[in-house]
Amino acid sequence: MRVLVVEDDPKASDYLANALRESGNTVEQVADGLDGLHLARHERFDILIVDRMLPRLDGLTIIRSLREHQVATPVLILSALDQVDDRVRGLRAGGDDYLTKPYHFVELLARIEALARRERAEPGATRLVVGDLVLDLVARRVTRADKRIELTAREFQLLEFLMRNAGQVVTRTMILEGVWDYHFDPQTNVIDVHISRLRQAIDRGFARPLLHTVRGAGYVLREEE
Amino acid sequence: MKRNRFLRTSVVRLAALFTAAFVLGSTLLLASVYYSASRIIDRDIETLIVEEGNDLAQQFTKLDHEAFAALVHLRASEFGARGALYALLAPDGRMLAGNLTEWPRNIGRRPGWTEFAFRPQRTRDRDLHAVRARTYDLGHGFRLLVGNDVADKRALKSVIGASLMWSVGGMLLFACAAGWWLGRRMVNQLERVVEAVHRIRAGDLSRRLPRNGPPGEIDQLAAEFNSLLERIEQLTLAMRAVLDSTAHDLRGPLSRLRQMVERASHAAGDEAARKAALESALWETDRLQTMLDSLLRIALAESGNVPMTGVDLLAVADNVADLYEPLAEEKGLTLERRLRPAAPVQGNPQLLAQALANLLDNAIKFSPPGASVVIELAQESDGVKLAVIDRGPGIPAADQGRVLERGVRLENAHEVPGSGLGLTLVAAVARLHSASIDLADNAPGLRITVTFPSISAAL
Repeated sequence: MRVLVVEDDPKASDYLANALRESGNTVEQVADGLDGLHLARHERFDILIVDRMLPRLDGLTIIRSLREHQVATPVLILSALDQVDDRVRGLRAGGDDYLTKPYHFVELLARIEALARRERAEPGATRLVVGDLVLDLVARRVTRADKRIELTAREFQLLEFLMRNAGQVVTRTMILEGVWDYHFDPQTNVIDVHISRLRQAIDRGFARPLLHTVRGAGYVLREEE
Repeated sequence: MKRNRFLRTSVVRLAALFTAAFVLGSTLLLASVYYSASRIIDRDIETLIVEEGNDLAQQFTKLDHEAFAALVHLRASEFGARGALYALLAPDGRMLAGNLTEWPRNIGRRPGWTEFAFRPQRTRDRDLHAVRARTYDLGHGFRLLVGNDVADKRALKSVIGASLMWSVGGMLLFACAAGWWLGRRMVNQLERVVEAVHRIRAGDLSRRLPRNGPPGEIDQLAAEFNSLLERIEQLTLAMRAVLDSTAHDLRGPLSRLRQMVERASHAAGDEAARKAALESALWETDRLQTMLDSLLRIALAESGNVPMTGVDLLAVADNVADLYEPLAEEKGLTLERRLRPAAPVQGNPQLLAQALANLLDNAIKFSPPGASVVIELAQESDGVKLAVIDRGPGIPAADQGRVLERGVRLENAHEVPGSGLGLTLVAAVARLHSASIDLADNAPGLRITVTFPSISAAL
């Protein structure tokens, strides 16, 4: 992926850029808002990572301006502010996701990969398929190898979220946000229990598991060769 | 310096302006009184003179010179005592009649109104008296003067004038003094306020504005300001407490973190030990971050700077219960929902969900296997009650107030992971929502009830 990092703290910017490069991405770095806007408008990127507080032009203004100029590149907003309405303001300005500093790099990586992929995914699908697992959004039915799997409403939502991000690592925080719309970390890792229940439902009795744990990061739903 | 500052204050400018307006207005009023009074006094005399003069002028046409002189003489002797003055001048310049010894000099030949000074002979005072007079050309070279001694009237006028002048002077003095006093009083009161604000700005937050002035706007301002200070002091103290406890809370994990990183850097040869140390360090970092997040959330809830909407607590409770149900079941607990519809409350859904999540988290953590955790929602007369009931060890009555404070963990909670901030957040969120928290013994266990005011009651 080609990533633009707009971040004025040189240490944070270098750390992020190096980590992104190590994960196989091409990275451009700029340290102020105006340069960031200019570059984002005139070059093609798969994803923009924009800090909220920037010299010359703040992050939200950059995003608003990009959207006005029909630049639809997905944007991940980084912010040191954790205010409940701050996230809302960021997303309303046209940002696609929001991450509060300090963040885990795996969390950021999972999120930008999901964002970049979302661009390519067809939104109007009525059936989601991963291997022999099929989720029918209209009939609200799940089958694996043509065998009906009974899920609770929450489990269905969780599976839908995982299938929409199939092949991508999703973090616990992403699941909490995507399925519950909760923007806080519960003290206990409740998500792990939900995942293990879902795993029981969809993987038990099948030779090849679909739902995998990625150590130190989260989970991924994919068919492994 | 101080005096100058006093004179430059806006209060003094205002007082001076009012004083000037007051003095100017009353001076105008008194001047018009004086003018009217002197007009009345003068007109009296003049009417008399004109009537007498016209009458005599008419008599002159009817009588011969001899008889006319006799008439003037008669009038002079008749009215002279009352200050009337007459003079009849013959064409050759002789005084034919009258009570003036000589035709006054310095008055012109033209007939009409005139004034001159004369010294009355019969009175004992030797002062010159002012005379208001009118002269007539009677024809054939005869001239007549009819006048009146106006010394008394002048004296009256000058008495009135003087008393009016004194009044103006008095008023000026009074107005200046009153203005000065009022201004001084207000400036003093304001100066005390300013001085107090200076001290407060310098860091003495326990100081309050003086309230010993007279009741009024300034006093009211001071009262408002004091309640503002009260709030600032509370917040500052709370912030200091947060800072202290945060520093205290962070010091432990930080020093452990340091040890782990040190161990990792020293275990150069032993790859397994190095990895283990780094993983512990990572775990410790996560814990630190979670703690910091909780502290920030608490600070956010305490700041009150949070968007609020109408929230259906039934949906919030259902969602949070959904989130925790598998965890409860994994621990062999039953999560029982006794949720009944309730009126919406004014609130922030995220913070409400997080607070309830913390309550459920605690309840599940401290419950023995096989027990049940109940989440209850009910509309009651005094508001919407949201309760979490467990059968854990409960909290001794003596500690019930303490657990809502920041970072307090009870002795028996040490084997259970947690930051000690869970209930603090609940308390902060409850305060933000004007909700009350009640901890009760569930014998055994704990029953925490949060009572929210219904929207209609809150408004």
